[in-house]
Amino acid sequence: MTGEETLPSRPWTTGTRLGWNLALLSLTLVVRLIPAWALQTEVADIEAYHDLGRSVLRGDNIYALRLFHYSPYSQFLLAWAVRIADATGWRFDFVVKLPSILADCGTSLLLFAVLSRSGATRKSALFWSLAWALNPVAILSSAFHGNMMEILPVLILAAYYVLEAASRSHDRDLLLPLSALLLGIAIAVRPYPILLLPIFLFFGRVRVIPVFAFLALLPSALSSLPYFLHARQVFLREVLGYQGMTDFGWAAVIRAMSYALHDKKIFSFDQQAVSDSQRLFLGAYSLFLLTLPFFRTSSLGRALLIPPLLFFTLYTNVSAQYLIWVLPIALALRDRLSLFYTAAATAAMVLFYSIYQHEVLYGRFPRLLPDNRTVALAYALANIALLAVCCYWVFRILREEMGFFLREPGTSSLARSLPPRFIRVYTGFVSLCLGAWLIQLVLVARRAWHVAAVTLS
Amino acid sequence: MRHRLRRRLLLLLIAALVGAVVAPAVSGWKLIAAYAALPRVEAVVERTVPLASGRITPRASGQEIVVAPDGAIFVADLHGGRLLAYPAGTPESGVVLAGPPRGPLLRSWAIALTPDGAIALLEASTGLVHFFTRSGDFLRKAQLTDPGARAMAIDAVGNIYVSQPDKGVRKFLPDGQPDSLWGDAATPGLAPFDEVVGLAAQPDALYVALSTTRELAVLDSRGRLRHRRRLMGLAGMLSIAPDGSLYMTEFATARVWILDRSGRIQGRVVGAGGDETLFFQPRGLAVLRGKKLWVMNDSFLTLYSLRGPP
Repeated sequence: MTGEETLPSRPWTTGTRLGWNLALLSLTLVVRLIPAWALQTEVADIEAYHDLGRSVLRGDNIYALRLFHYSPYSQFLLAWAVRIADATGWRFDFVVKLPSILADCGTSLLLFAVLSRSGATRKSALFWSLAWALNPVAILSSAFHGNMMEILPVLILAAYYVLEAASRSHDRDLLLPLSALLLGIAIAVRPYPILLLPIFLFFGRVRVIPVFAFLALLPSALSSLPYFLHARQVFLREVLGYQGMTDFGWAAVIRAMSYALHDKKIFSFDQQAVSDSQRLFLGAYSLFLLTLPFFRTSSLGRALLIPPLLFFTLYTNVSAQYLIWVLPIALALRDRLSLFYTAAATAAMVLFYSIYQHEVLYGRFPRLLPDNRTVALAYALANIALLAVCCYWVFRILREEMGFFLREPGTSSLARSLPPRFIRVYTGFVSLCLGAWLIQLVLVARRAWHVAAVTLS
Repeated sequence: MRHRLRRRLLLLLIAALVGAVVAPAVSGWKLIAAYAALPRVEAVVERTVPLASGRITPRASGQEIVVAPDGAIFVADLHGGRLLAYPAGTPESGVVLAGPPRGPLLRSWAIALTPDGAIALLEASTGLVHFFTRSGDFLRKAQLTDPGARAMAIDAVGNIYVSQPDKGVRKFLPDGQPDSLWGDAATPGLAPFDEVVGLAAQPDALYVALSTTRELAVLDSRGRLRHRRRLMGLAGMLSIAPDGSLYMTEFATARVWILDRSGRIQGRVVGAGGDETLFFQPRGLAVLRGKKLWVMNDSFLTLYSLRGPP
């Protein structure tokens, strides 16, 4: 399941494995608990979570506050955070970060387990697990920002690992529903993993698709159904109407340059450009799904990286916490690009917070970076670096998979299931779709150029 | 043996996950079903009065409103710094009573009527209460609270209640003197509370909407706490209906709540068929006889006709 060839190393003994697990767990905890405890600031998402948690405890409709745009599944986590904070006297901003921090610990341990069982050397397993435990993007998301998105990595990584294990296990009948439920809970917490569902379905077997899809959609459907029945208008307005914030990606470059050049902070972006970029992303995503049959049957992990990378590259409204999406699988694959990605994303996050939400980064402490035009320029450059890494990453994965398909067609599911004549027809169809998407890309790029020219002139 | 143990473990894990799926769904179902079961009063729009109408320009941003027995509406225009009047309750009758261009800015959240028909306007930037006649003539002003105050109410005998930022609510007698017999024993003349965003007065009770704790406090005629009820939503501006029930707007969620005399939730006001988009950033409100409700929505006043219990 890894992307690298590895030589076998000395086997792990139970004692050393346990020792390293404990060390990883402690390290992951400590580097997150310290800032989470020390910052003592209730701002941005944390402030909203406090309001939402209190609303849930009082029996209010969580969607009424216009701050919650997901399935209602995770609402009781917020309510429990309020209860625990009230009962213990701990600050709410610390308590509400604990689920994310604990999820990060789970991801560290799971990564270590995945890597140690997949043929990685000891050093390699430890290095890539530490790359998560000490990952600044993960730490910023869970211990500083405190967004609930941080619960997702452990669930997605677990779903991925279990599905991979199912392909070579006698317990496939149990592992598949387990993978589906893990993915389903992730979708219920935040809807982003829905983009990964078609990939899971594709790499599972055709026979299990209906059951897998049913179980993966069950948690969100089950928790949303009563809201659909009893409070449909407000529920649909909030769940379908949210488009995110223009904090990272290509639109953030325009936003940052406006500040750097004209000392003018932009807080909302051109809505037409947002809608255009949404369509462009969905087009690219659909096109990517069409290319899945060219992927090797063992490339589930690499395929799972593409949707978030396309999202970061093409969509205008990328929030800070979204940047975590790509990391757990990339680290499990021991992909070195994840290190470049981490560097660019960390710089972009730190600079973004310094300009727009310095309380998230510095809490009650004096700020280290000023809010000025130089920092804005650095923020623009960091976003450009992030975009470059994402673009190259997508390109590299697709190039390698297509290369494998051309060199060893037998490794792809398309070649296994279709005769060569139909493969040519299918390839022609995908090329046609690619052409249509490229036209869409040119049109959106022209409009984006116009928006940039107007904004920066 | 090991294989069987492994399968049992997997089954246990699946069962735990199913539990983790079902439990929040059931709790959520109970929660939203109870919310949906709250009694609703349906409201139908009868008339809309844009604030910028009649002789009022430019666009205004109304906060609290008060309606005289003859139907005249008075509005505290916060951003315009004006006192607006709609004597006939129609767009054409709109007129500026105080503030630009007739006088200096009077940025105000709160407005109330005295028993003799004068209009009291609480200036947020100074804490001064300005009194005007209904034709806009200035009568007097009194320093009753601190800058930043947002809520004021006057009862049927002319007692004035004003919020004092970060301190609570103060009571003044009709002659403007503080009532030192009223309030908490430790703080004569003051009932201590956190941030107060709404006040409504009856001869035997004062209702205080508290934003930080999301509560409604009910004080007796001596200013002692009678009830302190947790609100389901956020606290907002208050108005007492002719039947004694209490109406409260919720700005952020665009809702209007109905509460009983003790501050318990009685229901909500919704549009026809349960429409939740009836209000838009509602602020001040006034409930009239004949089940009529005026609400200050964003930049327009709307008159609703209420149907059904409670």
